[in-house]
Amino acid sequence: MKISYKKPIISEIFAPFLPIKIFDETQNFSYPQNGTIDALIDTGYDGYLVIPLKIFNILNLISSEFVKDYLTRAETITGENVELQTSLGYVEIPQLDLILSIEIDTTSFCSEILIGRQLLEQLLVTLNGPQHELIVEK
Amino acid sequence: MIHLSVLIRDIDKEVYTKFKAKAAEQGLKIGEALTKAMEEWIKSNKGLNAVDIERKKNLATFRTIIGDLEKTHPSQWGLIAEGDLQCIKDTHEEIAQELKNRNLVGKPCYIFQIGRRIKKRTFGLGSRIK
Repeated sequence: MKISYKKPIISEIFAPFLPIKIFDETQNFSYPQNGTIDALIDTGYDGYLVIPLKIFNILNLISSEFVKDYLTRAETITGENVELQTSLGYVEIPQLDLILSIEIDTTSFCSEILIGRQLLEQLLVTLNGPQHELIVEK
Repeated sequence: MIHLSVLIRDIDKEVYTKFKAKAAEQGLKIGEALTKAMEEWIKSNKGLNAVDIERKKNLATFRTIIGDLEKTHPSQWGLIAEGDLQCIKDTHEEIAQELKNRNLVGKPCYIFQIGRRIKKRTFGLGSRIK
């Protein structure tokens, strides 16, 4: 599957995005309800998926939340602590006909859906910089 | 102003180290910096809503039972809701089924694999975390 880079919300530099659909742990709720949403590939984030709090609430992920005592720390690369909520859920990549069980993070400061390295480890990903093209395989 | 000397347990070592360094950087004693931090926290801390209260109850239950569960049910999955341990199952898929069966979807619940901690998260500078 080849996908052209797109312009992120806040950056002016075109970047790789993957169309996904997110489900809660019971698979009763999905975001978006129809179609997919583009998630930015971010190798600087080492979780699976981080989503804005608003989407976390739409998906009722509060019902499959991990206990905070079992969460270790979350911090930025500059050492600042990030208050994080993490839940179980699923991500679907329709173009690959793939559904994966993942940990979904949220924080009140998150403004864009990010795909992190633990999710990327399940996929074969190639960034074709000169062509501005993301290539993803199972 | 009356000044107290108090012993505080269970402070995160890493946070304390950073706090101490920051206080020193600004020429403050730990007590002075901590007083300022507590004042700020009191100002910014809003009251708990119903969901937060429910989560706190669930957390208290978790802390009460987890020691025993780690000995008796290692690696199994637990579900806490409404301040009670609802069930223990072998897989998280079974827990998801219990969420539906017990009409808990939409309510604050804690799911956990007994004894397994979630790996630390790091966000790079490129992240959209403002």
